[in-house]
Amino acid sequence: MKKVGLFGNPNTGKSSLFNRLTGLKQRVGNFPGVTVDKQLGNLKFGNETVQIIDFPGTYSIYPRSKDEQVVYKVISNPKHADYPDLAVVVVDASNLERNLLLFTQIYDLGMPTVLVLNLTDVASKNGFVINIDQLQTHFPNTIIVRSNARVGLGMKELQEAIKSLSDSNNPFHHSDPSELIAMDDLIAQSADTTDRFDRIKQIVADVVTKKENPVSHQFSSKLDRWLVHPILGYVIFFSVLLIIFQTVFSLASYPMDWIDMGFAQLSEWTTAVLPEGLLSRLLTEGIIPGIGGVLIFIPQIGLLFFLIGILEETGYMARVVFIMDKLMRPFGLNGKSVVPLISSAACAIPGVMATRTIQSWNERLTTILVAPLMSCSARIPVYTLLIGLVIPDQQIWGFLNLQGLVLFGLYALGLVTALLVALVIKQFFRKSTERSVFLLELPAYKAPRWANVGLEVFQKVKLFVFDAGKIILAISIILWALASFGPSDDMEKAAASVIKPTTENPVDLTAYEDQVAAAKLQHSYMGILGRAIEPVIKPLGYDWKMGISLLTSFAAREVFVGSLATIYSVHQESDDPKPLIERLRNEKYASGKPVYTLASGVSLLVFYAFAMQCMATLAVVKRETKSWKWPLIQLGYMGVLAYLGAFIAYQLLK
Amino acid sequence: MNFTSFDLLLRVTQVIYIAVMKTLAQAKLHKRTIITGIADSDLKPKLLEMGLYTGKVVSILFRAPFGDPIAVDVDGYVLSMRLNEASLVQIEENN
Repeated sequence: MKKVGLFGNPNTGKSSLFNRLTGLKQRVGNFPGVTVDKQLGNLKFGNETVQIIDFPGTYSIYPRSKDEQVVYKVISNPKHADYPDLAVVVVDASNLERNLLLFTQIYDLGMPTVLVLNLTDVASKNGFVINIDQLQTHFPNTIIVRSNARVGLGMKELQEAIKSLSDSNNPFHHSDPSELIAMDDLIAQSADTTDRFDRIKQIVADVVTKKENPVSHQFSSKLDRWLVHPILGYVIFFSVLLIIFQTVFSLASYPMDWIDMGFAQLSEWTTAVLPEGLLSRLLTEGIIPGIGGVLIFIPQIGLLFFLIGILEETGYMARVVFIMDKLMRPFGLNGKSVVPLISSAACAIPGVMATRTIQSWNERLTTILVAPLMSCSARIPVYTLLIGLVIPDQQIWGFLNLQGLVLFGLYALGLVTALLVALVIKQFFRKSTERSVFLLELPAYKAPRWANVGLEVFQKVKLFVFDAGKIILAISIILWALASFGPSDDMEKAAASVIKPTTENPVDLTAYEDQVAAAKLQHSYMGILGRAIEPVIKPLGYDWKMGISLLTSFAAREVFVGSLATIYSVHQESDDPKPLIERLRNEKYASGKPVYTLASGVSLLVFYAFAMQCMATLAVVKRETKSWKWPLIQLGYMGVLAYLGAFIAYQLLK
Repeated sequence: MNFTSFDLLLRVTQVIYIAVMKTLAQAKLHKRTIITGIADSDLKPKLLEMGLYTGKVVSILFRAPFGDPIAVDVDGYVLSMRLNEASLVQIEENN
């Protein structure tokens, strides 16, 4: 299959063009060695199909960041698996000069090229007229196509151009990558760029006539007066953040509840239908809840990327970066880190996926590493339970509720710790050779193209379900197995030792079933593990029952509540934590001291604020960093923080 | 850090150079300025590629709330950059 490479500066409408050409038939692949994804799609004419590869948007074929290296690496090596037979270079017609740099670099290699003059509508609005015939005389070996990818103009001409050039016997296929300058020879690259602009200046003077004074900038600069205003700019931005947070947090909870209920019912139904046995249990208790545990995140991911897509498409995201950069820089973060971090306060999974907009790898990685410290919504059930249990419900200073204050404190703890950890990473762990580059184009404001937003949501959801989903499913099955099996027949013996009530009273029967479940869990491998770690967690004020709940909540933090309920055989009819709180209050050590005191409760709160107890986040971090190294480092450092924090809290309050 | 005398000399030269030369970081708002060169640094090719070559006329459109970064009009498109990046762009104010 012939390969067509799609190249172009950022903000040229390149992705609109790619979406127009390939529609929903897109795939995501890997470029070796970089974290940027390879977007692939097919284009069919009759019997023939060509593959379209969307390369990352760059200003030059010479890389200025790690992710941009892929363009150079592919172009410089005709034997590369992704080496294109034909290059389609998308050029912003309203900014011909800067855009022609990349085009001439590719054109001069002798590769067959199509020059797509996109955004010609913007150009004419700005008062530029481009003489295409004249442009053709400067680049005789290329096919020039005018297009407006936003509305789909010029797509037919582009397809025809691709078709005619992908014929094998095209006349000017003699690309010669030996002309390329070495990737690290910055001096030669600077000289080459200067020479090219000398040439391009003349071409532009020859082909572009400027009719009138530009007008379209006025709209953008009027908006910018408000949106980057020293006070209003932040007010507007924080309002936007609040809307995003509220949407991801509240609006997503409805479909999440449906998914939750749907899978619970599916599980019940399959239990009823299938014959009893190991395989049915694997299906009903392991696989179905595991899949449910993956799908439950779709509403949050979908909504967040819908909103981020709008911010990106309109050009507002670039302004966010612009006004937040100075504030985030001391922590080694980027203006673009703000949206992922705030999103992580709803859920770290879409938050981590949203770091892709950060170009600098260092800043992106730092954002990914600290994002799960933000208090996500899965911590809320744990916080609610523990605060209700150990923090007195009283007013301080007459108007502040102490419980509410502690909850706020936990959110603040997450944010402050995230920033401090980012600072530590910046100070001690970064390679100082890589400097942080800002240099960002502020695109003109425009209405979002909904098809692009929709495709972005679709891609992100697909990526999560199929890539991270596998890992989440695997871990949930392992956790299920650990909690469902024990050595020899210990679990059965423990279950049998629970005295069966003689009455048919449903209350007694439910209590009996709960006790059997508790006995089984305590004698499962998970129970044994819980006991095994007791010496380790004792200095934190925990007993082995809490240990079991800590282990099971690795699947997801909120599982902590359910596990405690199972262990203490408290029947949970609804989300109301009161019966469990009552039960936990009465839990005493053999010495008569209560197990859940202020000290052990606060210690648990701190532990949950810091610990990386979310396999889904780990799976997503693995997906985004393309290596197990970073999720494991994250698991490690957050574990150490959690242990030390909980230890200090317990020892101080004991 | 371990400075060799050469590094030190280089640094001193740089400091004097920056003190004497006017850069885009010091340009006035909305004032049209001509770029006279880009200081040698690993950012030089990147700045050139963004269209900041010698002879280009640019002006600062607005600054971020804390004065940094700045937004620069480069021949019809808006480029934002941090002050430390702008300080690599040498300019001559156009009167």
